[in-house]
Amino acid sequence: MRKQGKVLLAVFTMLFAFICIYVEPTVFAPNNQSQTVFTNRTLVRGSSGNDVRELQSRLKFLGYYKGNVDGAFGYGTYWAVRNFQYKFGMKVDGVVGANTRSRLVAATKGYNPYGQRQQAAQTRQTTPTRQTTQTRQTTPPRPAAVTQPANTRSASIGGRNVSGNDLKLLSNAVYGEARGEPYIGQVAIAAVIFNRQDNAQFPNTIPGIIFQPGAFTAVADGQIWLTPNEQSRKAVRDALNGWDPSGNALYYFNPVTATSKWIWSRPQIKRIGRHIFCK
Amino acid sequence: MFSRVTTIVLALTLVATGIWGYREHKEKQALLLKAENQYQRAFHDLSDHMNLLQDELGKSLAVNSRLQRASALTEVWRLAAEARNDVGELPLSLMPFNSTMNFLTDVGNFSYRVAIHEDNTKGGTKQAQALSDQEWQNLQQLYERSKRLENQLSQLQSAVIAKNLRWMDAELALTQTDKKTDNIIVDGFRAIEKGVNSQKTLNFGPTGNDLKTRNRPNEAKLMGNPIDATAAAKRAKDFLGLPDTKNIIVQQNGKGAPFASYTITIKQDHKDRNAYMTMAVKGGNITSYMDNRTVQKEAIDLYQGAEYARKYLAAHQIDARELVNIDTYDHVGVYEFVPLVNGVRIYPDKLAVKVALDNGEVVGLNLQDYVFNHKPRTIAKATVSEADARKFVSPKVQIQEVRLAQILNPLRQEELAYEFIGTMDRDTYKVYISAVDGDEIGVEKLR
Repeated sequence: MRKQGKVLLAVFTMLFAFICIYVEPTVFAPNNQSQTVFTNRTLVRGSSGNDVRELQSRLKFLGYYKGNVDGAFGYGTYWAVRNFQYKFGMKVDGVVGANTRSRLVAATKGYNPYGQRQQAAQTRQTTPTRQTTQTRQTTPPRPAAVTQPANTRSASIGGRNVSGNDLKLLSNAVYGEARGEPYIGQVAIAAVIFNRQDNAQFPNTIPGIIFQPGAFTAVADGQIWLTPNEQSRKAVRDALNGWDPSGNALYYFNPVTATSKWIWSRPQIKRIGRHIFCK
Repeated sequence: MFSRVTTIVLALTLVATGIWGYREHKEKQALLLKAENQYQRAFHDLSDHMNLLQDELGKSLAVNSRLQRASALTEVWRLAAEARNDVGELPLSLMPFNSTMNFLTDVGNFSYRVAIHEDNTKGGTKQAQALSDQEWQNLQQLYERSKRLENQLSQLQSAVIAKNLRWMDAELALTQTDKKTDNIIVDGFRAIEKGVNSQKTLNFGPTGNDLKTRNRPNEAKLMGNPIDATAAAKRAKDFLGLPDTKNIIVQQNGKGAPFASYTITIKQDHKDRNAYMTMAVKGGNITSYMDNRTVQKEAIDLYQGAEYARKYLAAHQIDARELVNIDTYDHVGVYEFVPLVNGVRIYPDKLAVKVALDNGEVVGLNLQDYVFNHKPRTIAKATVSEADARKFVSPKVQIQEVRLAQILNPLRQEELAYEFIGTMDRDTYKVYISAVDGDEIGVEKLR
């Protein structure tokens, strides 16, 4: 009885292993749909996330998309979607809704999101002991973290073009200068830096403004190199998108610690938290 | 015996400490010297650039050919930027040095306009002209002034070299502004600033003067009467649909504000959450609104968010339905809208709506451009046909989308233009071709 059970178990294990190895790659493709990281949300230019990665790699698989799979729905992806929609006789609007999504999934039958790794596994399938790696393959691997796109403002000519690294510097500066301040005070400080960029009296690059000797105390005492938090990053993005709680200020100071007499002579605008903002 | 050991140990410790202290001191000196040298370099560079700049300005006055003048003035433009850069590397942000910076910007902008911009556009359509009298006088004035500035700088430079003056001392002197300083460098720069400041402003013509005030909203464009703080609170309440004004604090902004305005703070139940609003005193229109509620999750997508933004605008009688750009971060969507008049996008009226993607609530508005620029417009007829405008776009750009748009040209005047969105390799560009005369107004690279 025990022997029979053991034999049965062995047979089942072998069977299972063979099913896994031989059936799995074939069921994998149609299975795709259920395993896709496509979510139900509609994707538009500006979207970002793993579903955008999926969209990009599927479009790349079909040859419509040529850029990097970076998870940021930019213009490159936009044109790829439009071309796809045009070729498949859909409404050409560059918006990835349910219809475009299902057509795209249907059009990419042979597409395998884990292409490289799957192939590597298939070369090893001659030994049935690889069963464990095979089964692990069927659970979708965690998609790599989405890198934040280096977002730039682009709406009309003369829009502000700020690189992703400039944004990091900015959030460092905001965090170093105003980490105990209310949120709008932090947005205001980022806005002051942008206002300086537009002004003739200051250097015209973001790093030039931040590292101008004596311009910011956080730069002088090294607090700028503290790791910024999520809030200061958000404040920078808000300021970049045009919110300016400072009221077009060029300077700000803490009235308790300010040493310069000259700063008091500037026309003041308002006070946010501990800082007085002035022109 | 014991005391001898102690003595030896103590003596050794003392020697070790001495060596350590000496090395620290040496390192500190080396670092100070490094910093000092950076300042010195920026300072001497500044003097050099000013010297070259006034040379080139002088040349531009002396030459007669357009090409020679353009090349001299282009050089001036470049040197002015270099000089500004040098100033940015000196610890002068602790003292007023605005007038000199403004002067350098004026020199750069004016020579750029004369050399590159005007000459090129004129060369395309009209005969290239000699400098107008006004332009010549301006150049002459800029030349005189930059010569004076250069003289002062080079005197200061000689003093710095002769007396081994250190910028580190100047920086120290600048941080102690309460006392009367007798630092030669600081005094020298104060004198320069005073000199530039006392000169009367030059007239750069209507376009040049407009450029200087471009970022200042024009209050004369606002409709309606000034409102007081109580009325402002009531308006804020109505706008946000609050039951009463008891959580609304209205403060008038100081005289440094770009336009007379109120800052309205709306107290929220949660400590870290606050909402604020900027409202113009004249007419009582809201120019900016921000609620920093944290958004934890995304329940609606960016596409649906746009619908919430549209509905919100419609409910507040804000007439801008054409979505031009979407940005997203931290589970919020920022939508930029422009009004559409007879199919023409009105970019000067652009506004932004921030929608929380958890429940579609609008948590931010940026209406300043809309409030100041929106008016009933009659759009001029395009005199250049689309097919003709296409010919002005580089043939290397593959055009994907075309539409008409009212935009602000580099001189900040409204102009009707064709907006071509095209691709070249993997990059996307927006090209604006004037619908009035077919000039290429601007190119923008999109991402």
